[in-house]
Amino acid sequence: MQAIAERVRGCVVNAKTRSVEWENWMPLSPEKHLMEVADVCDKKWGMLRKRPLAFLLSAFAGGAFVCFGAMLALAVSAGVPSNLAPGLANLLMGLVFMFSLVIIMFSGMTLVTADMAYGLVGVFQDRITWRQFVWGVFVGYIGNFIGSMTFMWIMSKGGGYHALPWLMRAHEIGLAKTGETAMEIFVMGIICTWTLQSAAILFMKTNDDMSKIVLTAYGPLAFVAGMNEHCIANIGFLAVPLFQQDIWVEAVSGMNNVAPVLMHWGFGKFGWAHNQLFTVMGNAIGGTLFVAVVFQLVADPLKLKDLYRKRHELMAADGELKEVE
Amino acid sequence: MNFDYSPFNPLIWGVFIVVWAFIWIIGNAYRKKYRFKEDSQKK
Repeated sequence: MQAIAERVRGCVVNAKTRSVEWENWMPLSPEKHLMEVADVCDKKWGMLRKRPLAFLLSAFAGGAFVCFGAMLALAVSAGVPSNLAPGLANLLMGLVFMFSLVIIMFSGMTLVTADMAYGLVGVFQDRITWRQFVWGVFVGYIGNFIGSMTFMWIMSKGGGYHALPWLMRAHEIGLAKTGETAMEIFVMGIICTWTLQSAAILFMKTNDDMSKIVLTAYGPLAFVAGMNEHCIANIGFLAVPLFQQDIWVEAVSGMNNVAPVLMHWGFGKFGWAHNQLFTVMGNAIGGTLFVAVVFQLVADPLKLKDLYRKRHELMAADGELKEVE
Repeated sequence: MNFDYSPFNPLIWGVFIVVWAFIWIIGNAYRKKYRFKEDSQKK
């Protein structure tokens, strides 16, 4: 019986009745959940303090993982006729993109937008200072940026994506995202991390892997199918048509029905930096104000303090026990 | 002046600063009121 319980996380064996109890299988209380989120913040910022290069590498991997999803989204949505169903391409993109966050969370890599939410919970629970929070978010963004750009640059050299349907689709996505006004991008950035970080924070709510996968996959599905703006995904989505722009210009130069609208890296309409700036600003609000602050304020602070006290007593007792041994 | 494609859109920067000032005030008030660090380091 004990062996069975040990194989399944979250189960305990009642010593008197010898029955398997499933109480730990249930989702955590809001207070235990928020304490777990703060523990993740502790681990992340501890890694940044003690092993900054490892933290940067984990952010590099996180940025690349997001772009695995962006590549798949581009691959499946090329050539889908909009008159068939206007939202069909978005749905296909979301369905293949959704596992990006799952692999980031299960591998323990860093995604800056998730860290904004975890870090703010850590700030509220006194695990890190404001200055540490800002530094962690900055380093996370740099690592994600390098990872995302590197992956997309390599991908843009792949022959498959030089075929006309994918060239046209990549450019179409790029023009749609960079052609929006600042306010349109900003509000879609807020909505993006509101959905995505709800999923990222709920990852810690349950104990079993299947629930974690489903909850985590929901976030990217919602933000991609919902046509939102995510700063790290957009680094890649917008870099691909820019890396391939000369090939695209050559491909459409003979077409009479295509107006060659060019993208650029700077600010202004059809600029990469225009989209990135307002996406980052929107993302920095959605996952913090509407997720981290709301979850933290919903948890009962007195019960949370009680959990901290109990943990301290357990640790103190454990220390005394070791001293006796 | 049209700020639709300008990096200095005053409305967006204003909202951003006000929201973060609000988060900072709430966060500091919450930390001071509940002092979780003391509970985890009590001797």
